[in-house]
Amino acid sequence: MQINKTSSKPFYEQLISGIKEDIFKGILQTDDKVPSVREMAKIHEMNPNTVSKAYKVLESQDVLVTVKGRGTYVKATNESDRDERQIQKVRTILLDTIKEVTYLGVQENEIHDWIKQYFEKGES
Amino acid sequence: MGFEIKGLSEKIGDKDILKDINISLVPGEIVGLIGRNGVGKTTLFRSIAGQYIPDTGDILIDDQWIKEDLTLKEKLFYLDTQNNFFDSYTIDKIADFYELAYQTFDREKYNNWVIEYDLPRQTKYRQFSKGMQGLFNIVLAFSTGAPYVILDEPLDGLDVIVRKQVFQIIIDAVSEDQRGVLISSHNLEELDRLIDRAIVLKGSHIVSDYRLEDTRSEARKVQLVFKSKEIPTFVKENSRAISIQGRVVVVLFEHYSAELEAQIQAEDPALFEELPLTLEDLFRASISAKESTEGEK
Repeated sequence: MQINKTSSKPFYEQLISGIKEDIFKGILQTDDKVPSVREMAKIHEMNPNTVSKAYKVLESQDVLVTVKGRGTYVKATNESDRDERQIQKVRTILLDTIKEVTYLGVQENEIHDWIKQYFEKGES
Repeated sequence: MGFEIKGLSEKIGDKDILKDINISLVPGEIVGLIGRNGVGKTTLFRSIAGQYIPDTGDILIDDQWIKEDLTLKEKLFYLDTQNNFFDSYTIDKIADFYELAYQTFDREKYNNWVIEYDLPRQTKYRQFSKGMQGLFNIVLAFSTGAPYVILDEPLDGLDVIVRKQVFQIIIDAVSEDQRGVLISSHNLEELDRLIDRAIVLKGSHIVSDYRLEDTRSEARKVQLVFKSKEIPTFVKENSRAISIQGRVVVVLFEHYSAELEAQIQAEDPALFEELPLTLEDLFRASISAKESTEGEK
């Protein structure tokens, strides 16, 4: 996972999407232990409170789970666990983004290509 | 719990060096103090450490006034790197002094660090390289067990390896031992990710106190080119200028909103682009603001 210093996104949001992406790509799998807040902070030379904030959000979204005294783990996901409300929220954001790029003159097939590329190579 | 500087002012002659400084720091928090050279950062640190007696104001440590109980100084660590007393001693001798001053001094931790970082025990401090001195200063700071630690330019002049070691010690101390750290640096890029809050000192007082992650969520840095030569009033009123070059203006909206975006779109700008917001931008915006009204003397 890369944290981009020149992104306009807050670091904790970058961490959240970075961890989700690692799970999606299979780099992190169910029941895998993720680095502790302190380790993660050291890896990215980042404020521990920022990491902690990201982990709390991921826990509230049921992506991670912290077992007291043992560490933080990737939580199992399955279809029935799908958070429909969250999905709807993100879907709206996605549709808004599509609207925006269409407005900027991007053609439909170009957007299809982007999506295809993402799933094939994991390019963002 | 916490460390608080309350209404601290310091005059030399009739010149205000520091004026009504209020800073708070809680355990587990890293606060960055930034300001241009000569703005009074070191004076502030020396006043906190009791080397200078402030004209007004006092320091509150864990809800007790430091003036009333000088033993509270054990809860605070500050090393005046410009004139320390221990130049001609070996580091173990220096550790002995600090062990006397701090009941909480952790000798085992100290020894482990000295071994881990290969700091020479027989060499005098002043014969250390700058990097080794920097590393030792950090080791000393976090060996004392003081819950609040002030670091004045701890990254200054360090090579990348030492710099990384210093970062690791600070991160460990904050996340594991819940130390509160007040840190000054001119290296804003390095501070950016490390600190929770950035306090900007300018012209003897504090002009901004940013909680960085919140600021990044709320604020936007945008580059704009308007069709008219005039910058629209709503932009002037709601933003701080970072740079203006011809018609290209880069501004910081501290509280960006959908309404502001709509207002900008309504002007039909020739260019409207969001740019990444760095600590340097926040710093520039804070020190440029109010410049005209303040009238630097």
